[in-house]
Amino acid sequence: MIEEIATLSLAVVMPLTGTTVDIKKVEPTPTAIYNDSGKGYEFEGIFLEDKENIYTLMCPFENNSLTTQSDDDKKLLMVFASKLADLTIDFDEDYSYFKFLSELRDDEQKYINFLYGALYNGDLKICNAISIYLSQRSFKFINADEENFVLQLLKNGDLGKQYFSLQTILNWDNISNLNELKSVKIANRYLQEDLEDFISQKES
Amino acid sequence: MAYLVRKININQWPDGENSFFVSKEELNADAVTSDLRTTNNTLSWWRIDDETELESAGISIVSKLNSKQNNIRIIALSFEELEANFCLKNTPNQGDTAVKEFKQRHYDMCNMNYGLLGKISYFIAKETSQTKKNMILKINVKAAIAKIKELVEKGKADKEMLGDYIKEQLKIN
Repeated sequence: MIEEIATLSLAVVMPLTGTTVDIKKVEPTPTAIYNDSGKGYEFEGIFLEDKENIYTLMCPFENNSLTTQSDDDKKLLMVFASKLADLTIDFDEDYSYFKFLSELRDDEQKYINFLYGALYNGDLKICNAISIYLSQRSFKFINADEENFVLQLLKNGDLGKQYFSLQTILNWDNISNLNELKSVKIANRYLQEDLEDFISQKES
Repeated sequence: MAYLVRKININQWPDGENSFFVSKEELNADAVTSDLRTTNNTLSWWRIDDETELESAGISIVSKLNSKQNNIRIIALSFEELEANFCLKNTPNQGDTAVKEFKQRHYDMCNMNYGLLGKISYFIAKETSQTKKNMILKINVKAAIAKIKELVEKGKADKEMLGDYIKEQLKIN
């Protein structure tokens, strides 16, 4: 294993909008580990690989990976990678990017998996950005890992994370683990009231 | 009894059970910087004549939502009490809402400074901490959008003025 910092210089044309986004660099964090495959970089739960023009994205959850040969997907992955590698990014100001992305694609669910990977960086801004992003969408399908992730955020997070994870849960049509939700105590009685209303609706 | 109404992020303020209001100096900075953002040293409020108009004020506020929220919370504070402590001006031209009737009810809390921001924070925190009856109202956004749709159909709300999220929900381009 060799530690290495990679710098790529790309110009990406965002699909549909035609907007040109200059990616000055795709720079894994200093803890990045050079991958044996030769071209990939593994950093803090996210694995990005350029292998015969196939980009593979893997997240901490089992079986949550995205492999694509689509040019559009590749470009988006590179944009994500560059943004997530730069942990100083102000995700509050960058919210428009998430909005742009959410409007861009119907099959955005797979990108959520990528965003989950960012959680493992442990950066509150990123966690909040993920939560904000999730709270803006209505997902018909929530798989068990994703549901559990948000539940854990609600159960164990501070009030800020509880707020955003609750907003996500309130968007769900279904929840498989209602009992676990009942055991949650939110550190704000108004939000607790929102949660209890949601549980009552799902039980009725 | 008249009130002034404003949207707040309820998770930022003491709730009187899990977090307590000790003094305005100890309030979360986020509460002040996110909920009490001023423009030209003014803070925007909506006047209602009595409690029966609280929901209408909530609908008026929801009409400008740009992003998805499930519920919002609004706070109503006594007009009389605020008038005794702050500079208030009726500014219909500044009324940023799609609900036509509510534009007239817009008030600016003017000449705001560091001290007055602390003072209004005190009024808000005192109310959010009140665990019995208080003037914090939850507005369900979905239900509010249904009302806004009716108002648009009746010509009582200006569809061009709706927030992006509301336009999206009502399929208005």
